Amino acid sequence: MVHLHWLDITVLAGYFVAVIGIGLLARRRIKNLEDYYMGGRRFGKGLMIMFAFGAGTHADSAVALTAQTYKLGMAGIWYQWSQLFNTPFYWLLSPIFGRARCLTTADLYELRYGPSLGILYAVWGVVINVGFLGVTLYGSARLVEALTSGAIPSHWTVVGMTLAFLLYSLIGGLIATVWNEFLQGMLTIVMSVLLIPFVWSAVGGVNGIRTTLPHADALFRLVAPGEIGFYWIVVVTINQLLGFVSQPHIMSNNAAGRTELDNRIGFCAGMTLKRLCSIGWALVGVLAIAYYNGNEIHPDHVFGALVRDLLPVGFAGLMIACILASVMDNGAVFVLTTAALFTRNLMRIFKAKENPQLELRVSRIFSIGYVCASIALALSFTSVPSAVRFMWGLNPMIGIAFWLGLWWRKANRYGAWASFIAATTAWVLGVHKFGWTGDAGLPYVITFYSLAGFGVGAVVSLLTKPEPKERLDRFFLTINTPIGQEERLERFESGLKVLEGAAR
Amino acid sequence: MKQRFDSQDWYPRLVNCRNWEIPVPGPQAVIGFFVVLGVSLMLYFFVLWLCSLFRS
Repeated sequence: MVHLHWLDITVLAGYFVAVIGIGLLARRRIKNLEDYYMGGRRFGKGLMIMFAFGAGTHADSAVALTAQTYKLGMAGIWYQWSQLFNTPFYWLLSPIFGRARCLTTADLYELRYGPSLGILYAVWGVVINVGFLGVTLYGSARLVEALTSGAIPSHWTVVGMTLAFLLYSLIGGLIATVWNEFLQGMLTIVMSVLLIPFVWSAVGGVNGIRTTLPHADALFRLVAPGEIGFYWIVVVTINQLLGFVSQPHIMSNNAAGRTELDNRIGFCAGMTLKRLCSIGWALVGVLAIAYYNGNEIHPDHVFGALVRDLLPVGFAGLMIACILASVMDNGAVFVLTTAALFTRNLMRIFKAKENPQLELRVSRIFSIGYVCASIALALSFTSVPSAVRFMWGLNPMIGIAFWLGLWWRKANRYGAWASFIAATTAWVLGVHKFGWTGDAGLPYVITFYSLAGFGVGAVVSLLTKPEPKERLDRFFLTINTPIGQEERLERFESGLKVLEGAAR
Repeated sequence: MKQRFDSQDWYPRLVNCRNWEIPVPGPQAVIGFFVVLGVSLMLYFFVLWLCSLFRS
């Protein structure tokens, strides 16, 4: 049982006051929707690194990875490292989001394929974000549950965290969120390394592990035959690349910086920092095998149980603050991006005339409904790794259409819709009809829905009417025009007007 | 006149085919790509070394 010292409680209370205070301070800087959703696109490298790191790292990442390495050995690290070799490609892709000059990822789909894809993305993006927040809340609830041996009921943890991040993100928008990411990112790094020296000393270092675990050779390999093999790693890596581009928060992660270089460095360094922290979580999971040698413990509880069993009382309080921080910074980003999708891309279907004040009010009300749906989803999960696998399937469904249209002019809205429907159908069939579940089935279901999505999308695009040339020209010119060279876009638009006038 | 407003004439492309729009990457993109790749490989080999430490 964790007994919280009065000092721990003071630190936690101070932490909550600080994050909400940042929200109130940031409120003064919000003058329009661009400020609210994109922070006015004026963040530097340091803030962008911590923003990308914080938005991509949360307590469930640590719980899922520790659970997998506890079950499978170091090969479980691929649960977080499946994007390791994708990071160089993120460097190449990052400018596209800034150059698109959009507020939401749905705007980007609309720019390429027209309004119907903008709406499809907005709906699916809300689903993705409900999934993201549900997984994050579930993972952290499991962690706190294990950490306190049930002394702090998980539903209270979820409600407390949700109220705090709702408050500061709704008040201060992206400015408050990014400022808080900096503080919370630091705490997440602390969470990642804090346990290692305590577990290391408890198991007796390298010699202790070799003595306790006679099968150390198998545990310290980067593949686990039958579960995580070479094919699994390659397929999941490709899957992450397909899905990364379609995450709703990817737009603000890659477009809120002052310059393209700030966005690029911020995103890639933030992702690399996450991989570095993953090494700590993976190591903790494997060391836990030696520590709990012979004792039954649920893999989801390993991280929390180690904190409970090994950290001194004061450190345990700090760890709780770190966990809350990692969940709350993500929650805030998800709330903002989901609200943006709803107000920017869905609400306008019913309301043609722009009204920024009304949009801001509606987005704040919608956010409350969104977190309620996420909490409901969180309660339906049964294990953290299975929740993570579920999320891995959601993003690529709509991401395939992005990739089809990124370099290929023939890709059109009919092909994009067809690829989404085909990939989603294949995903459902793979899991429910063919029984490709768990780690063993994962690469097969990914291969199946990827081939279905790309194949059907390409064939339908070839057989149907192409997108209007003006739309394609505008899209490709926009994503290939660096920030600061907008006069090129203006010249292009005025040229189009001249052509239209001549045609009349 | 129409040629002037064709987006394909505004930036260099990697593939000389009307249906493909793969832009030529600039120096910042190429250098950064290899730097990030190098860092990723360093992390990978660090973990391999860590594993070998426990195995041997």
